[in-house]
Amino acid sequence: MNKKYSAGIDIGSTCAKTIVLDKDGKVVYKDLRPTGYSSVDTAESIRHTIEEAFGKDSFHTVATGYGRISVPFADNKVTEISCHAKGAVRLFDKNDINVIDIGGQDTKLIVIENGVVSEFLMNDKCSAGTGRFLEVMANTLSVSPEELCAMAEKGNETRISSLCTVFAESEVINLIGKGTPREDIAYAVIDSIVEKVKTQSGKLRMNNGPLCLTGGLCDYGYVVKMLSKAFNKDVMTKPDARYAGAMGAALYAASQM
Amino acid sequence: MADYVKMWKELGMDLEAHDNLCQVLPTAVGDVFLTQENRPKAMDFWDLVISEVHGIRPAELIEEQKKGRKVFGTFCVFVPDEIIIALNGIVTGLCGGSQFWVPGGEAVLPKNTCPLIKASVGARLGKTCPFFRIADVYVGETTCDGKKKAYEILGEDVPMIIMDVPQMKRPKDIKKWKDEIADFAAKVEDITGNKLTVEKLKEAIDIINNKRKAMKRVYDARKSLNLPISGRDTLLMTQISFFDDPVRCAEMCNKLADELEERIKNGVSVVKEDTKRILVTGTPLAVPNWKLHNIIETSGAAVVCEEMCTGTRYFENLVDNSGNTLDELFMALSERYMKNNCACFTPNPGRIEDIIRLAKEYKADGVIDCSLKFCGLYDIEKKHVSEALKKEGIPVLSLETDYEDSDSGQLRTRIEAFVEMMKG
Amino acid sequence: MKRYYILFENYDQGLKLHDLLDRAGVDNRIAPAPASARGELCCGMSLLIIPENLERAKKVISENNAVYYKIAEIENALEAKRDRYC
Repeated sequence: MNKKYSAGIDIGSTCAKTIVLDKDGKVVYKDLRPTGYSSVDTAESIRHTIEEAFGKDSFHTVATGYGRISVPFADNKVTEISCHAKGAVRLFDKNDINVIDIGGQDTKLIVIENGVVSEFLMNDKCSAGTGRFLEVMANTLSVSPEELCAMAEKGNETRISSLCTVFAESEVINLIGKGTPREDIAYAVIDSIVEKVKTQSGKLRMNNGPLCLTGGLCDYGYVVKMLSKAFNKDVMTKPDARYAGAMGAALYAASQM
Repeated sequence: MADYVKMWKELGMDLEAHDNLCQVLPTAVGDVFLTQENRPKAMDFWDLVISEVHGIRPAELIEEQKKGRKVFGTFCVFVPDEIIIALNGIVTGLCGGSQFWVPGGEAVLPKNTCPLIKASVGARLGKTCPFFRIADVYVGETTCDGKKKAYEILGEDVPMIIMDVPQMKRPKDIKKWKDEIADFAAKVEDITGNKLTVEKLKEAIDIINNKRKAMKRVYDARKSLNLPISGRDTLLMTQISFFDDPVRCAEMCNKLADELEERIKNGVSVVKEDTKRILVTGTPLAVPNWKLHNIIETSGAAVVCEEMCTGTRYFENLVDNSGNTLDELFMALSERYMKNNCACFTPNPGRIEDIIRLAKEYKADGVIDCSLKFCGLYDIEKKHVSEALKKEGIPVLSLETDYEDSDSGQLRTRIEAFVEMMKG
Repeated sequence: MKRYYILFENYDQGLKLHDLLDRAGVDNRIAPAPASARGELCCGMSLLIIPENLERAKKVISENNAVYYKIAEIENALEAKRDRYC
């Protein structure tokens, strides 16, 4: 095999993330774009971009994420659970960690021991506690998700059901009707996401390693703060944590070369 | 085959709706079963039965009814087939494994009822299941609240016998189940017009024990690291065994077991060497519910055993037929049936012991504990199952699903990730 | 890939041919007749044959005067990961 690069493509329900590593494992390219309606088209446009930059047939590719089957040119497919774990191990440079990944349509909890997955959990069909939930709620309040987080920081303790997006939305509408300040509703929305994650975590045995947040919410300092409060432990994250899945896929690609 | 249409019409079935069901079956059977390589030859029998699932056996049942025999439709592995067989009755399973029937059930039941119950009620009310139409009487039992209440709805237009299954396993509960079996025998005597004798009951016990032994032989073959049959094929065999004549069922299972034992001797396997071996446990998989097995077996793993009512709970443990009075035989039946570790019992440590024992016997690399949505009993028990398996160092994945296709992608992700985790 | 389904008016005919094909060493599997191929037939069994075996199957049919309803050609009908259950 004379391929020079390994590429990891993570097609999530909201965003598609790409990481390209060179032979020494150094990140030489990173890319984030909306998945849009067609994950097949998105995958093709990513292929086009990286082929332009690095040349045709120059990389070994692993696809992951919910749209992994829409990447026909990938040499291999690995689930986002394994990829997030591998990516997080590299990004946080620790072998024993617990990962919370709040993605577009699902939330994952992954326990990693000695660098490999020992247990994991994913939410079911319902999108409560996911990035999608945050988007829907932000929409209802006519703000962006970033603005919602900023507002929540100034809000007073208010609660809504964390069980179901549909119920939660009608509860939010009720609160709006009652004239509850938007800041308080924003507080309730973030609180419900954090509560949902915390409740789910009770079903697995986390280890003593750090607790890390990956996925699209890693830029939201307020979410990180509230998660830390709920888990009574500093939640680590970094701007690149949203690339954890793509990073893991690229590392799988490298190991398969 | 045109005569099936006549038969269905005479059974009062809704032909148009039933035809919609016939439309989807070939695709599912093709995708799930016929994409497999190197299937055992003896699967021919079950391929034929599933191809004509609403034809061959219903026609046989109707022929027997013409001779005066009565058909008993049952929902649960707690119903003692031996009593019905001894009184010259026929036992058949009933429909309940397809999404096709769920909307019909939802029309009269709360949405948060398990899909097995919704589908059964929908199949009965929608007139699209010949077995529900043929049965002279249904035999229900009290293994969950959903079924108890659904039987009241089904009982509106069909005679029903309900057997009261104990919820604990104290000696007095085993005695109580014996009395329940005796009462059941009296009712079956009334319906069939036949009189139960020690001799007849012993004969029936032998027939059902032989069926259990034959099914166990097939399952035993799956313990071989050289896996001679897929989980999908075994599941089909088990599902159909609820509908078939018990003597023929034993004969066919033994024939399959012969072939599987030969395969083991010759090193013939249906999977690649690094395939992960999975024990599945949880709620029953009624025909044609093949989703879980198909997803597992197209994700780098194979199902080697089912700790389910459509699995080991159906055939494990034989009935002691050494008794010389009906009372002794009823007690022997009760003792055997009460060994079933259904989640309806509290406490239920036996199920966890079974899962760990079976995982070891079948050399499983991991366990998938899957329950039907809204089955509180099995869902709650997942906590202890998962804790016990983790303590044993056996990987476990807990899942919940229904009959819809829409969660297949999410199930695939979890199951593939579970397999990746086991591969390390 | 093309696949062929031999259809019958009843399963007795089907099982007879199944047996003949088996004895002649022509691979075939019992399968529910695909809805698109059934025509006026009701649902029931058929025999599934891969293209490589079609000519040999036809030979067995003519040599034994085996009775069947028709042979239907279906394009790429099977897919293990389609996830369409019933």
